[in-house]
Amino acid sequence: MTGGWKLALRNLSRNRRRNLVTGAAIALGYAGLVLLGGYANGNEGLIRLSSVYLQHSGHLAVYARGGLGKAQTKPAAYTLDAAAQEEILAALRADPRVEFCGRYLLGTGIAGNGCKTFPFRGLGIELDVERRILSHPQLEPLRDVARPRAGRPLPDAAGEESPVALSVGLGGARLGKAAVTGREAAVAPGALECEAPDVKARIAADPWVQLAVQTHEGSFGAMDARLVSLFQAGTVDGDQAGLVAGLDLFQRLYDTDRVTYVAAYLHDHRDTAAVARDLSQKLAAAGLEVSIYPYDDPKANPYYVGTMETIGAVVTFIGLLLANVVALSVLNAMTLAVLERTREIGTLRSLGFTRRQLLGVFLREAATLAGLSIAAGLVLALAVSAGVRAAKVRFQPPGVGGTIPLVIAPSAGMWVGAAALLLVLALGATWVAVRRRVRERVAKLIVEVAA
Amino acid sequence: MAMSQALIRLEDVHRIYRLGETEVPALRGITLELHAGEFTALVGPSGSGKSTLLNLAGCIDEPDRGRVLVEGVDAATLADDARSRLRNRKIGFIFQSFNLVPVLDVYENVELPLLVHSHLSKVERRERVHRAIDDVGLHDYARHPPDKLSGGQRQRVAIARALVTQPILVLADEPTANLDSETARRIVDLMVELNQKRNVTFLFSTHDEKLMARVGRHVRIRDGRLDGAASGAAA
Repeated sequence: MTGGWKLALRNLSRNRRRNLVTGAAIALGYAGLVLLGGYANGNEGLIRLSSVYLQHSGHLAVYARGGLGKAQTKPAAYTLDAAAQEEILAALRADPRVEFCGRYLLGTGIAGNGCKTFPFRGLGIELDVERRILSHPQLEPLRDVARPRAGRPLPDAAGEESPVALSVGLGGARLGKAAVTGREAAVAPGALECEAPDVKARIAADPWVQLAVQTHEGSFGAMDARLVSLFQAGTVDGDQAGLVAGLDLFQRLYDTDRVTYVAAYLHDHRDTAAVARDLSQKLAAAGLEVSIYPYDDPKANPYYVGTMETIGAVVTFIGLLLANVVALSVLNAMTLAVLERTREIGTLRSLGFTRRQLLGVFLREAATLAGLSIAAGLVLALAVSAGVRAAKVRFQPPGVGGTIPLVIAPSAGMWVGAAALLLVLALGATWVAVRRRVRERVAKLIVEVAA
Repeated sequence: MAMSQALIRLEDVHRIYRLGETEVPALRGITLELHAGEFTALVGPSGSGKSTLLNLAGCIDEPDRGRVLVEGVDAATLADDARSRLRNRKIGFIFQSFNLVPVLDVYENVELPLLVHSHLSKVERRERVHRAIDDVGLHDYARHPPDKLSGGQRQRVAIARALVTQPILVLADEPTANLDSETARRIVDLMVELNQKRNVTFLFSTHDEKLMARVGRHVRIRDGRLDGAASGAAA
């Protein structure tokens, strides 16, 4: 059939107000879907950065086999010895997709202020790796979150004696070190009169904390560490019991040269699966029994996976609502159009149009309306995302110690996918509205009085 | 009149409308033949079955009993697409309320039947459309939208649209009912002229006695039955 598109275009001029409203619903629906997807995408990027760099999971983490679950209870058996560390680091450094890597030692124990003790969950980090992380250009949007709540970044105290960073809950509320910023004059550690009236002030002014642990060999290990900063972990557990120290200090404390895992930081996160696969083969060939976890593994990184699942559920729900509104708008418009043009449908059938050709005219009409509306929605979405970028909006999510930027970053797939989804919905709704009508007897259609 | 093969033959055709539990017989065993070049008026009071008979002859409805043969082919044996093709190539329709597409101009309305099932080139199509528009005297109105035309002009557009595919038969359901008497006379004049000059076969329904006087053959219908067909040469 020739001229079908022309007829469809002309038909769009019939009820301009209704088509304008339907078109606006499609345009807003499209812009909404794209912006919503862009918001989820932008958040994914921020959460990934936070998870990979600030929570030290790396793009992938190499544990001794079983180490993810058992390293804390049986560290001697489920951590990586020096030889394994060397093997893993050598393999990672040989891979050009790996930007840098770091070793980490997890441990638990108790931290005290001379009068009271509280449990901690600690992480030993390589301070030069941490310095590199904190100055990483990709972390620019999270600079405010990465900043300590008080004191100096741990790497800045690298040359000092036994520096340690505590979470605000452990160091501040529990151990009473809230006033410590890391710049006060150090007071030599010594016995405190815990019943003395000025004990709180003395504790607050004293940057030293006492750490006690069970070493990997099962004996008692203890040391004094100097508090240099307080940080906000962003989780309840982390904020109540978080402790970060240099790897050397932590290994001394636990009397070991082992580490819990080695994290690899990649140039491009999209290479994670491929690097993990290659590394797995290489380490297996070397006889190492390890487990490799990418950053999106739910066991290794429940924070990232859980947050993304929550965002995904919310976005899917709102997206479905938007899609339904669009589908119902098109269905409504097309149902009315079909009702109004029943006699015309009969006339066209009598002139020789087949059912399929008539359906095609309506589908072209819907496709044209959807196409024009999607184009308008695209312009709207571009304008909104550019506006948000230009306004540099920042906000503080709950539990996060700092502001993060509002990022709306739709991917190419989202632009195309949302357009395809709405086009299919518009065509489907039209098909539903028109299909039955064009199947009716032509003679009945011709005598039908227009609605 | 020497009888050639019938263009359309209705054989013992019955059509019953069902309104809920009630059955309303519209046609009760009609047999009728239409031959090339005839100019036939279908005459009868309202509700006598004229429109139903035209619908069946035009293959836009199906009989409950009996057969409708178009050039010897039983329309009931054709699939819907084939019946659409048959309507497009062999039958032209003229409606009482013109039934023009309001968003298309005169040229585009007339062109409409040529856009489906047609293998004509664009040039051939344009020639056909212009000839049909010229035939009905609307040469100067080709780019006018229907709502800028008078009732008579609109019906002329409908006639041009019915003729543009060069059908074997044109069916017109009360084509002058919505027109004043002078305009109606002119429309009938045009149909008579097309019948005489171009040998277009017409079957149209009317209950206008003045118009009947100008028609060669009357077919009278009452209560779904033919009263008796008055055969005659084309007017």
